[in-house]
Amino acid sequence: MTEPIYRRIADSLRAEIDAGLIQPGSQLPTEAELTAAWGASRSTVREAIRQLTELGLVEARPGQGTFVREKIVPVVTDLSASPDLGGGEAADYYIQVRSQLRTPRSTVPRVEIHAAGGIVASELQVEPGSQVVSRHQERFVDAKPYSLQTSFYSMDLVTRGAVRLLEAANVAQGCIRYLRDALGVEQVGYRDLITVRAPNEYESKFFTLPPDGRVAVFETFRTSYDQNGQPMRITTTVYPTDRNEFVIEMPIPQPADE
Amino acid sequence: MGDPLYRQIAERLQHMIESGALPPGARLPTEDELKKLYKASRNTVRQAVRWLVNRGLVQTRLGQGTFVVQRARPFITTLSADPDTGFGGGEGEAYYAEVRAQGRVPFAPAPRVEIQQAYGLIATELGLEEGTAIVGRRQQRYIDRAPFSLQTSYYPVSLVAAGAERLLDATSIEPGAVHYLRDVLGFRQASYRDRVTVRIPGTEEASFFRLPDNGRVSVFETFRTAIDGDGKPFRLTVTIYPADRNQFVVFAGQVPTGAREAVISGSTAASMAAADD
Repeated sequence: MTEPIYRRIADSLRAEIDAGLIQPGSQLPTEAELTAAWGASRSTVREAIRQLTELGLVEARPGQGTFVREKIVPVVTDLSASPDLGGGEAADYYIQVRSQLRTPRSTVPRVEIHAAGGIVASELQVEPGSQVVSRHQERFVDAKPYSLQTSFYSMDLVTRGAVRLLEAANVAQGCIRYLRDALGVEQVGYRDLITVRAPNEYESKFFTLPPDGRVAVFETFRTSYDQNGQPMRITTTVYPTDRNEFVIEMPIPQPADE
Repeated sequence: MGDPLYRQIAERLQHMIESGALPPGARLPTEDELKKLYKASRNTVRQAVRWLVNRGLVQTRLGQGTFVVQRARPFITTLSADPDTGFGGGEGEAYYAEVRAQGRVPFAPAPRVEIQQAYGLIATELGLEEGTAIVGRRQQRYIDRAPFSLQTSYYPVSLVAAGAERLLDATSIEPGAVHYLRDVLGFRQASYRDRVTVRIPGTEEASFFRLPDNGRVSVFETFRTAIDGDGKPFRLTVTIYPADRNQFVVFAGQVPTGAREAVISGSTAASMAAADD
């Protein structure tokens, strides 16, 4: 059984795009050219182009033709442990983005008090319904939205004296260092879980993702642990997959006999 | 004013799916039923269903109707190195061990071995001139009989000439190619670098993993560069994982045993999924 012609045309154009024979930003052969080259009807050619459009590989520019979409230069987030395990908040975020010669900006945190539920309660190991502080930031690179981050802390940390967790202002040294200085609660390790899912309505609007849901988002969950093995924070971050990548540098522990 | 009617219908149905009122595998009401239920035109109802299809929440089976997608239980690959064995994100025996530790059944047929020319990213990552000969070892990997990943490792052909002839064998190298290279050539893997990206699947990938051909299920593509004791790269491993059935975990510093075990038992994955409501 053979594939329908529109499928063969689409696959062949896709192979040329993937191999870089038709470069990002350049024009696809016109409908007339494809009709002639494949001996296919105009509606068959249109169906092939519709398929590539649906995959997000090409876009129609009114009055000009169909073009291969430009790739966004991704921002690379390093998930490996830095010496102080700071990774990716406040000043650390700015340093990571600037080292890629790009311009970071993050909004002043929006601070809320919630009753803990679901994953926040289970990861922070607090009773469902107990009070937690959330700190939410929108993060931009070169003035475009790149990620949405929310960190959750048990209210117990505030009552013990870490009152700045409630301030709707950046904690300049980062909340991890602040907790160490204020309470002697020190982060000694973390666990990152990396997942991918379809964006919700709010995320689609904020990141200006195509309305058809074809660009997925990474959702990462970082649980931080203190020197007593207790969870001290959970951070969830949402990153559109069309503009973000992760890197992990991992030294390998060598056996003692070497 | 509010959202158009099709969106309101779609969001009602989405809510029913996410709350479990329409569980995985359940059939959506038919077009006729939806028309009556929401006093909407056939066109509006179709638009609503299409919106759900585009989000990967439901699937239409020809002649049978539209069904809530059944998600595979995700498999979690550890990207950080295990402090005991020094291995992470397994190959060979390490892969089998990691899958079995999650109470699941791994299967990987014998690798397909090819001699190719290094180009683009492969050449850059391995520090080779474009056109240098490389060995590619490609393996399909299944869990519980379902396809879960496609892995290809690339080695400079010079390693074969230096004595690592088994790189050309179309059989699995046990207990792993890194061990083998250490035994025959004295190579020591000092570190590795992982890059994790996401893209739409290629045509062949979509058919191997049985993904919808509209690109709505993305794939992870990871690139692992293995570095030897002299700081030189000696292997690049490229792995494709469908994002609907795979997740990754990274451990850094001291993480309590309970938090490690939660990942292996799958209780973390379940709680993370519940957070998406």
